[in-house]
Amino acid sequence: VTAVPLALPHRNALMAALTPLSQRATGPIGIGEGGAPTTIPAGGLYAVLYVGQGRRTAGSLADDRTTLSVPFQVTSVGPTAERALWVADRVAEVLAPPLAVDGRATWRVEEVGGPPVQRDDGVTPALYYLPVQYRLQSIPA
Amino acid sequence: LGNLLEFGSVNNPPHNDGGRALDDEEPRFLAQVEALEARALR
Repeated sequence: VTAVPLALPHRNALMAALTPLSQRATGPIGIGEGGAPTTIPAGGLYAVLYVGQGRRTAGSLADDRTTLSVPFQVTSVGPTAERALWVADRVAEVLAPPLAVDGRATWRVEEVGGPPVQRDDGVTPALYYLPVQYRLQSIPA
Repeated sequence: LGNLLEFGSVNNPPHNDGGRALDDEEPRFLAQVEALEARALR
């Protein structure tokens, strides 16, 4: 029995991959989790990670349920449609290499997709956002 | 409004209800496809 939630090291790995985007010299991208980041960089670019608990499925015929599929979404936000697309591109780039997840062997992050860029008129000034869903699957290392 | 619920917006989180329903349906769908295949090859 592990003391931490099974999805937690996955979430940590995702945050570790995304966080350097906020340190970019040009076009820093704020990273939030579950909601907008507390401080949004001057350019108004940010990405929000929503991570799920994941689905456990059988790793063998013994139904040991050790395979974990963690769904997550990164919503890229910017003041224009072009910039929202640009943020989504940077996010896809950092999620492309294999991720190191503590105690787990992972597949490469799978891009599931999402709807097209949309304008949110519910905020002033209006912002453009692009949600992209992903999936991260792993087995015990 | 489906998009908004499923994927959220700038300040709203995604619910992913449709996605989960699809995930739930996947094994049944695959079983049906396999059954079709088996019948076709009989």
